[in-house]
Formats: sequence, structure tokens, C-alpha cells
Amino acid sequence: MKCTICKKPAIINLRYSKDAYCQQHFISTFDKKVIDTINKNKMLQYNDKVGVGVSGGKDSMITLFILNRLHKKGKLKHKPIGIAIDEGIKGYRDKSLVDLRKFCKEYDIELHEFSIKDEFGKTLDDFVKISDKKKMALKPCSICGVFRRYMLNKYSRELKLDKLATGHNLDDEIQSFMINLFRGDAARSARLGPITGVIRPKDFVLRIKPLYFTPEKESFLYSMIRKFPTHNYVCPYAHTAFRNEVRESMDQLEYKYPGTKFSTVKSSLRFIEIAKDAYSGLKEINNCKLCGEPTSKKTCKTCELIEKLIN
Amino acid sequence: MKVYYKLQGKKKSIEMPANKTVEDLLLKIKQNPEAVLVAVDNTVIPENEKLKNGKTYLIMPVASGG
Repeated sequence: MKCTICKKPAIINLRYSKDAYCQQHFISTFDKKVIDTINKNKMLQYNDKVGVGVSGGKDSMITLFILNRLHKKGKLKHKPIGIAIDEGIKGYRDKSLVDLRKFCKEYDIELHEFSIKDEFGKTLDDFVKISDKKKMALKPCSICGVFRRYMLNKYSRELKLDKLATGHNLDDEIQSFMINLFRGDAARSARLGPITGVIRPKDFVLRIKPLYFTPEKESFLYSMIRKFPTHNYVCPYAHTAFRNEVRESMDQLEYKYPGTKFSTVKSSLRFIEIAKDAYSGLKEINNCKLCGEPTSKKTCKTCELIEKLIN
Repeated sequence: MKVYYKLQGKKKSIEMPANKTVEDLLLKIKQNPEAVLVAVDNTVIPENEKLKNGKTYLIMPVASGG
């Protein structure tokens, strides 16, 4: 099979677009797709101070790498910084943080690390054990997601960031949309999209997703070619997530009907637009009475969860 | 023909008819071509490449599940 552009041997065949690319043209097409996503969605302005929520996995490394290159090329005034949350998942996050530190050192990128244990007194592993003991029927990902979002927003604000970029890719976004659909949670989907949030309170740092239109398979290949120091460790709690079943189903559909993922994301964007309109006027944003973080209720989800887990 | 594949650290061999592709191999071992990348001789290849006798195909699941 030959590259669509130069006719050299292809390394990947993109059945959804009927294109095949050699290494060089895969990289240039990938870079262009990410930059186009940033530009078309007006994700960044020259003066923005940007942070990237990084985990040590491929997607967040790619996001940080591409934003760092934009800075080097003079398209962004400030050098992006990395923000990592150490959840305290033994044998997983400790290892991926080693990859991340190596990456940041190699590209001379400032990395800020914060831990769930320092923030809430216990590691995620501890909280999962407590939840199991109390028979709370909480999945580890539900605890982790709430705490991570809370800390990422809090520390992005403290670091005076204008935008927080995450490494969410096309597959992640479709999975989130489908999960909300299956669970009947339309309001939650209103928070999805290349730039997140229904309304924009001042204490909430705007989140952007430059890899929104990038399939995971392509981000995997990109990080391999760029030789990023990531081992793509698998979280020991990942098998408990409904997301895995949705991922497998979407992969099967994509294999049988190429283009399904892009059609789904296209439909989801239209839905998200409508949902954002529908839900924007319904909730006012307050500050949590316990911690002061933005919330649509009197007490934020994080404080509610801590209360249930610890008391 | 006989080809080898390496998946999650384990190397196995499999008999495949002539003129079959990497995609055929993946389907035979119940791997969705959409969910993996395949490399041979340290080079990633598209799934529609023909299999070569005696070669070892490295199968890499792309989902990190983090």
C-alpha cells in the first residue's frame, strides 16, 4: 500500500477517509489536524497562559508537545506548563509519573505535581478500599474523576492559567457521549465538546481539547514515531469501567462501518450545541460553602464525596 | 505458511493460508484491526499488507485505559 501523497510505502491506512500515509506524511497530517482543531474552535489566543493536564500517557504528552512547539514557533507567548495529579494508584501512577518527568526534562517543560493524598489525606487506593468496605457502590473511576477535575481546576487557577488543555482524543469523547446517552444523562453531555463547560464562571479555568478529532489509534502511532518516553501503563481499575465496553462496541462498529466514529462525533457536536443552549440558563454557579470551589449546588461534588467517604 | 505474532509479551505461531493479510491474521486471533497497530521488523504496517512466511508480527493494543 502506498502513501496517498508521495507514493512511498504506507505505515497506516485510514479507512474512514480512504487515505494511507507514510511516516512523514502521517506526522504532518496529524500535526495539521490538531492545529486546525485549535484554530477552528478558537481554543487559544497568543497571550494565553496554558497548562496541560498530564498523566504520563501518550495523549497528554502529545498535547503538551504540540503546544510547546506552538510556543517555540512564536504562536503562543508563554511556554505551556504541565500539571499532573498523583492519585496514589500503586504500580500505575508512580510508574507513569517517571515517564512524565523524563518527558518534561527532555523538552525543558515546567511540571507541577499535586497529590490526592496531600489534598484529601488519603490516596485513591485508600478511598477505593473505604468505598468497598462501606458498600457505597462507587466505581474507582467515579471517585478519581471527581477529585482530579477538582484539583486540576483549583491548581490551574492558582497557577493563573487562562486555559487548561487535556489530552482527550476522539475515542474518549465518543465514549463519554455514548455513556451519557446510555445513562440518560443529557445534561452531562452539555459539558462535552472541544471547549468544555455550559457556562463560564470566573473560578472555572476553561478547558480545551486539541486532540478532539484525533482517533486514539493515530495518537498511539504518533507517540511511537516521536519516541515519547511513555509505556502507556494500564490503570488497575480500568477493567471496572463501563467505558471499556463502550470502547469495544465502537471499535467493532468502526471496523464494520468505517467512518462511524467521525459520524458519531459530528452528531454529538450538534447535540452538545443544542444541549448547551438548553441547560445554560438552568443552573447558576455558586461557591461551595465548604471549600469555595465553583459548584451548581451549595456543596460541591468533591466535598459531598469526601463527606460520604470519610465520615 | 507459518507466521509468528507477539501480543502482550507472549509469542505464538500460527499456520495461515498463502496470500492472507495482516487483517486476516488479526481476525483469526480475535483482535479487532481497529483497536491495534501491527509492526514487523520494527516498522508499523497497514492491516492490508500481505503476510510473509516466517515473520514475527508485533500486535500493539492502542487503548491505554488510564
